[in-house]
Amino acid sequence: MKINISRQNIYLLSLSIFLLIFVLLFSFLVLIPKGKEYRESRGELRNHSRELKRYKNFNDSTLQKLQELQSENRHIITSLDTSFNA
Amino acid sequence: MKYSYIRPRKKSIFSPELQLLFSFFSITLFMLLLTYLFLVFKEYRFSQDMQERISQRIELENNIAKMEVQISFIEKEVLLSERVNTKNIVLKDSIANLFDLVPQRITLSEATLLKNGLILYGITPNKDVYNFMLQAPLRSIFHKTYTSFYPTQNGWLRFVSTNYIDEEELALEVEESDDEN
Repeated sequence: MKINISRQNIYLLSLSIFLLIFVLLFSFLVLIPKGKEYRESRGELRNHSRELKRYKNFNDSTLQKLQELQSENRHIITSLDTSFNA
Repeated sequence: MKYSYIRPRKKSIFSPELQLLFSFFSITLFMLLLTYLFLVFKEYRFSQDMQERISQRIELENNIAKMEVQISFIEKEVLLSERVNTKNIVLKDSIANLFDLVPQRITLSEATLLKNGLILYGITPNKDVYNFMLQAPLRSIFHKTYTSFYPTQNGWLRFVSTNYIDEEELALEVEESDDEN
């Protein structure tokens, strides 16, 4: 049995195989590792965001406590800051 | 000499099959490149966001530390003020008690409160009034009492009474009262 493939078709086939190999190599060697890095970075950023939110909440509660103390003891703070003239 | 009745068609290197192949692969490569660029850009943004969050966290940490210092300072100020207030109340009570001690016939001109004593300056009609009406209560409070008298022009006596509490004796008295209880 003789297969008749024209020269043009052979060129076409080889070019498509080359391009397919390039696409596969690019995907497996570049895109997939990059995707993994992206996912890890996203997870790390999410952790940092969560931690930052916790710090912000703690900062807000501390600020509130400080303001309450300052407003409750305003007279004491003012009197101790003022110099005493005997 | 002609071999065909039709005109020869033009042959191009970009045949319809090749065009189809190029268009297919160009679309594929474009999508891959776009995905790659998207990933690179997102990673760059992530790293920038992370730096920003770290710097914000450091700033918050410093802020919290400063506020905690302020809070502890205010708490110390409150404690100090309470102590001062208690001392003032004690002092006020002792001054009130002192003036309750002085009888109407004796006039005080000056009183000095010491940490462990009291000095009184004043005028008394005579020594007996002083001894019975002021010295007796003073002796019951203080452990050591010294008095000097100076006559004035109108016949009354100016006196200086120096009274001290002996802290060792006071401690002994406190211990004895504790034992009795």
